[in-house]
Amino acid sequence: MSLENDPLLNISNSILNPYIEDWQKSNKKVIGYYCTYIPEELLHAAKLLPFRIRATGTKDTDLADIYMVRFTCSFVRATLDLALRGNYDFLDGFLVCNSCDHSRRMFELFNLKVFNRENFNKKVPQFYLAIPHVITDEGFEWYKKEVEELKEELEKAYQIKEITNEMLLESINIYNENRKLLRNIHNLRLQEKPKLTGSEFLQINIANSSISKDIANQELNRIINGLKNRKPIDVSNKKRILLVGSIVDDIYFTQLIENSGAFIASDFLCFGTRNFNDDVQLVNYDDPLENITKRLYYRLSCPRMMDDHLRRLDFLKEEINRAKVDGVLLQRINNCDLHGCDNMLFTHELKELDIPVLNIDREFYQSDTTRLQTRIEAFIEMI
Amino acid sequence: MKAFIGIDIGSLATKIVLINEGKLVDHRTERSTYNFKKVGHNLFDDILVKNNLKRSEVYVMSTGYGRNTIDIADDRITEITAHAKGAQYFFPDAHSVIDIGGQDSKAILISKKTGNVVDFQMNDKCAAGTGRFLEVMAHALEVPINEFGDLALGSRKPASISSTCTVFAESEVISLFARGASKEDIAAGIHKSISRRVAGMAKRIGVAPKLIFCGGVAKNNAVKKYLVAELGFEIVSPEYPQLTGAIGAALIAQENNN
Repeated sequence: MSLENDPLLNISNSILNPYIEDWQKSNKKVIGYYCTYIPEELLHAAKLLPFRIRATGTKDTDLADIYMVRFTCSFVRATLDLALRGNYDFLDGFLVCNSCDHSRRMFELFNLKVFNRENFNKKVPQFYLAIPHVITDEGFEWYKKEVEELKEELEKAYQIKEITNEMLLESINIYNENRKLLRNIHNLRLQEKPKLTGSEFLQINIANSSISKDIANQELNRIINGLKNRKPIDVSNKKRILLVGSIVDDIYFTQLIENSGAFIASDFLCFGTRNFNDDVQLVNYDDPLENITKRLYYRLSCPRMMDDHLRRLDFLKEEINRAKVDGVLLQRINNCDLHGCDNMLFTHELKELDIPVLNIDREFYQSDTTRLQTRIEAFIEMI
Repeated sequence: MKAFIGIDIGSLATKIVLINEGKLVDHRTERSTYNFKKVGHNLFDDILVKNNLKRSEVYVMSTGYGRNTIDIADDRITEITAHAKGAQYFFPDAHSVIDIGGQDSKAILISKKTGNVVDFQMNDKCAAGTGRFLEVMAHALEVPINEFGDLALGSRKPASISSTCTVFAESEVISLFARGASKEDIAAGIHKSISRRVAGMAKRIGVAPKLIFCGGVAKNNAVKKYLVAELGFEIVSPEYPQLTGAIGAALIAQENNN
């Protein structure tokens, strides 16, 4: 099986895709969301297509720089830049949570400068979800209330009589199945003779976030069947690494790594393990929304969750053993203090365990690649 | 294989060395210019002719920022690994390396047991803390680059340059002029500023004696003096500090072919 030019993987290279166009042709709605802390199952139950906002392929952020200074996150600026150029005009809804302060400000700019700009006549409902930064029982009650309010807002905005428990249960099943399929593909990658590269795996994850999960599950099954007959990738001359840190939504970065003598055997990324590691546990059939919220709140976190670093470190240690990696590549988008702090702690903790670590800062978009490559190649030569 | 050639294509200078039986036999250095491929080819052809060698008799290892694009190379290695190896050619007991080149500065730790790199740091995407910074500043003071360090050493009261950015530092220099600071004091301030920045980066990975200071900027005695002051211990430089990377590359080529 060749994954080159595979229709699913191709979706990851652009923002709009044929599946979305078909979806909207039949009068169905697409809602854009930012970050993985939002209850996708709820959106799915509301018959919306949740599309994860990303900025694949951005080369610069001239337009966004008018409104956001250069020291804000270049990923956030890149998404705003694409939106200002009209790339997100297809959205029928927009949902943001307070993942970090930069994305919080971006929400306001989308409202003011994108959806309310001159000659843009579409009315795009916008939703905001506040998520506590610490994991406590009180915090959970807060978050649960937020999600319940979001449900009501969605019903109102899209004139849905009620998003019923049955609808939610059905969505949970589809999403749990989706995560299981992604884990199966992940397992085909982290083995000694992998069936796909880290870049291909990233493409699958990105595409999965850009289409309806009903279609995605069929597509992932197709990929799994194809991979079973695929010849393993030769990684005998490569060093196996675990890729950790800020969002990666463009294969230029993973290809740069994998062309520098490395194989990304596993990751700790939001377009990767962090997104499919935990399932919704159906413990309370009377309140499926609570089960959805529980997963989101208590699952494997990213550094926007405070006081949870040690749980993340435990996951890294497990994954290092499971994927038998030779080293860990920590990366963050410039000036992100959340990933910056986490990566700095990981650097010391992993070095104490004699695990080779490279810690790099980068721009979100493709820039200064020769210097990045030198660091990565030197790291590969070192381990 | 009769001999091994290391070619280090830096952003400012291209260095080529010929190694035979582990010893440095010949070397050349030229400005890289925009056409570093041509510069590399000229140096390569010249060193072969002068040493009566045919292409088939040498194995070429490239390093430096142009390592991937130069087509005469049989293999390539990053400048980090090359500098660690080259430093040990001059000082077998090297523990750490600081290399300040035209575009990059880096600090490297070497394993006592294996002689391999155990950790490294490189400067950010910025000219501060590099040879380019010194060039821009020397130009602003209208001093030839090879006299810049000695001018700084003549200062009694180094001026304070707070900006680490090349662009802003240049305007800071101009305002120091306006306030009547002497050329020597401004030059000393500039050298202190680059040394502080590089020492800060090097301390992050825990550099210690014996520390080898190499790269083109190691020829500058003022940077060396202030680096020693910042680090708090003596540092040494090889006879040809600029050739360290090229020598390292040639030695790795030799190791790989034995």
